Order: sequence, then C-alpha cells, then structure tokens
Amino acid sequence: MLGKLIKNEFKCTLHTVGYIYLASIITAGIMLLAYLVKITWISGVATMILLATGAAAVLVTFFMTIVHFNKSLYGNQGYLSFTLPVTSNQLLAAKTIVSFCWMLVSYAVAIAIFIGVYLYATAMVGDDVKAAAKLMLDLFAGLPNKSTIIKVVIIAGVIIFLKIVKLIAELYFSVTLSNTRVMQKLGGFAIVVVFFVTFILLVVASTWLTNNIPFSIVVTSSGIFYSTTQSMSESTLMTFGIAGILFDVIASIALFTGTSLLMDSKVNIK
Amino acid sequence: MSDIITVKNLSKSYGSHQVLKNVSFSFEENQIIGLLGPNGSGKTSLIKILTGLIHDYHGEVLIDGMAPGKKTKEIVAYLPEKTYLPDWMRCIDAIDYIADFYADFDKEKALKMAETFNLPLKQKIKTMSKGMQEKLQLLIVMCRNAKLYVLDEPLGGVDPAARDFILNTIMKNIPEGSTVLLSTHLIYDVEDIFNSVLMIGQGKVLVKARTEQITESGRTIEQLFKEVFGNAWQVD
Repeated sequence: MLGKLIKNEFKCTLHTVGYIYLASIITAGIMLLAYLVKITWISGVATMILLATGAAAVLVTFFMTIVHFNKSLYGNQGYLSFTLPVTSNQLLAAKTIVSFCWMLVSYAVAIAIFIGVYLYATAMVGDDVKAAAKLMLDLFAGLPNKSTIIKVVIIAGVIIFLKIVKLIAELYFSVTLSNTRVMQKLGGFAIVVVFFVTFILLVVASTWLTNNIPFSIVVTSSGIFYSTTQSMSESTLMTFGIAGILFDVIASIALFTGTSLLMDSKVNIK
Repeated sequence: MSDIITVKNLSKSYGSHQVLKNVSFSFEENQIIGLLGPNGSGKTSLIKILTGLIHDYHGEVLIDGMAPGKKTKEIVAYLPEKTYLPDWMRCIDAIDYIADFYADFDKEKALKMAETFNLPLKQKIKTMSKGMQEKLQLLIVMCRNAKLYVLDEPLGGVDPAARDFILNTIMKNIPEGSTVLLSTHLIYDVEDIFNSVLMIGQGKVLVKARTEQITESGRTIEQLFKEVFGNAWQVD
C-alpha cells in the first residue's frame, strides 16, 4: 500500500510543481537558443527569468508541501485520504518521501540554474568557462585526496538529507497541530505561528549543540578524524558537529511521532 | 447473523457541546438501516466515528467486530456529504485511484456506470458540475463490493428526479448480504427501503426499531419521526 500511496502522491503533486520545472526547461531552452543566434536582449531576459524560476522552484515546493499536506489530509480531501485502508503512518511516510524528493529536486534545479547562469554569464562576457568551472572545483582544493573528498561529500549529503527531513517534519507537525480543535480557532495563522516557534527552537538547540558539544568530525589535510575534545566553534578546520546532527535525527523522529499521534487521536476531519 | 455495527456507551463532545451522549445500539448485517434525525442531531458525527474520521470519542465502536481502523476501512464504503475528490483528477483518475486501494472495487462496472451516468472519463473534476461530482462519488462507492455502505445524506439538496436516480443506483448495486447505513432527514422518499431505523436526537438514541415494528403499530416511519422530533419545532 505504501508504494501505491507514493505513486498517487507523485501524480497528485506533479500537477502543482510540474509547471515550475516545465517553465525552467523552456526558459533554459530559450536562453541557449538566444545565445546561439546571438540575440542579446532575449538572452538577458531569459537569464533573469531562469534565475527567478530557480528561486521559485524552491519556494513553490516549500509552499506546496504545506498546502498539499493540509488540503489532502485536513480539508475535504481528508474524507478520501483517511478512509483509505492504510495507517496514518503509511500516509505520513508516503507524503514525507514524496515531499523529500520534490525538495531535493527543487534544490538541485536551483543550484543547477545558478551554476548554469554563472557559466553562461562567463561565456557571454568572453571569459574562459573552463577556468570559471575550475574556480568552483577549487572549493575542494584544501582536501588531501579523492577518498577524503568523497567522504566530505557523503557527510554533506547526509546533513542535507537530515535538514530536509527535519524541515518536512516541522512543517507536517505544524500543520497537524494547527488542525487540532484547540488550535483551529486561530485559523491558518496557527500554522505560521506553530511552524516558526518549532523552527526557531530547533535551530537554536541544534546550532548550540553543533557549536558547543565536543563531538565532531574534523577534516584536515591528512584526512578525516573524529574528535571528542574539540567542538565546532573551537575548530579552525572544516568541522561537522555530530551532536547537532544527532539532535536533528532525534528531533525529526519526535516530530513525526507527534504528528502521527495527533493524526490518530486529536485531529478530526471537518 | 452477526452484528455489523456495535456501539456501546458512545459519547462525543466538541468542547463543551456534547453531540452524542452515552449512545448504545447494534445492528445485524444484511439490511438497510435508516439513520434519521434532524440537522445537528449528531448523525454525521456518528458516521465519522464509524468510518474512522473521528478518533477522540469515549465508548466502544465495532465494525464487524473490529475497532475502526485499517481493517474496517477495507470493508466500509463511505459516501460523505461533501465533495472530496481532488480537482486535478479526471473521472478516470478517480476510478483508477479507488481501484488501486480497494480490492473489492469493480473497475469494469465503474467504467460502464460512468458511461451510463454520462460522465466523460477524460473530464476533469474541476470542470464538472456539482451534480456530476456527486454522481461520480456515488459511482465510486457503489462499485465496491463492501460489507457495509455508509451513506451520509446522499439525498440532501437534490431535486426529486436526482433523488430517484440516487436511490435506484443504491438499490441496484448493493451486493447480497451487505448492509447499508443511510442517513437522511428526508424520510418520505426513502422509508420503503429501510429494514430498520435509528432515530437520534439531542445526542441520544430515541428510536431503534425494525420497520415492521413501526408499521405494525399503524404508523409510517415519517409519522413516527414527526412524533419523535415534532416537539423540537413547537413554539410555546
């Protein structure tokens, strides 16, 4: 059933976010075409639109995650979702997986657009594109070898994964808590309040733990090491605070559990 | 025969307003039950509890011996008062969606019925009239071979011709041995189809009887309804 839920969730959300990616592809196409036929003003306008589309992809996906979750579970569509022969956990898991994929795609599209526009602008002003690309890769210049670069990329990937999951957990928890009887009185405003309170509290806690607990991964010119003596704020090297990462994992689990419990006991479909 | 619905000491409140007060009743399977009561009597709250949409209640509710949950949702086909299908869907998407989740959904029958109902398969729900959307929802429910059909005010707000259409569709498509719980406050048109009635008002069960028990007393269901609820409309 989870597979069917995910499939239908993709179909459903594609109708909202699909347009923004379609717009990105069309705009990028126009931009490249204008570059090839050397029509500068079209190329300039298309570049601006493409940059805006990149930012819009992230924003639209973020708001779609909130609106779709709210509408499909606690609006009229809730009559369909909550009478399906599935558990609340399955509903939550399907929505989380699909939202995660869309958020990841939106970040990837936005980053790709910004890099693409940077390289494109370099080419437009007549600079060496290869040199510009090399400049970006110099970010990894301080790392000793390929194996270390791969490890750093994996650690950064895990952190991004956790940050997205935590963001989705915060959004779902806020929407669900706002749909309990007590909070319903505040209307749509409740979602904003609950989200910002949850978000700020967790960011403060996570940042404090990351910076101050001496439990971290330190990247040096000789490789990657665990450190239980140095916190992130004390380090002058590239450091990943493990305490903050663990906190994000625990916070995400707690928020998903809270959301599931609320769905099963406190939220009534209007 | 076993009980398809069992409700023991059920209470439900919205804040300080209690809509169901220690309600108890049970119904055997294989019958059409009329859930009757004026607007605001607690019919929809009771239905939402039976279908697993409301969780914060007190008391015991069993559907075919099971508490409302994943298992009961497999055997209950529910038609809510509201239109609930996502508006991006086309008629065929809605049929495919339901076919995906319910093993008892007869897709072939649904496609034939859509043609009979003049519902174009490729038409988007957002471009359908309210009547067409209601037809589609009725189709989706009645193409399931469910053990229990819960129909919340399917006749509310429709013209007499549509009422006949809805009733015919329901009657023609109930599988052998299934039970229908149909809530309504429009009794005249439907009283002939009921085997049992449950009248609720002011959060309590006021009447629970087999139809023959009522008719044996020389009254129609509508007359009994007026006797039971008539006082609510009297002005001193």
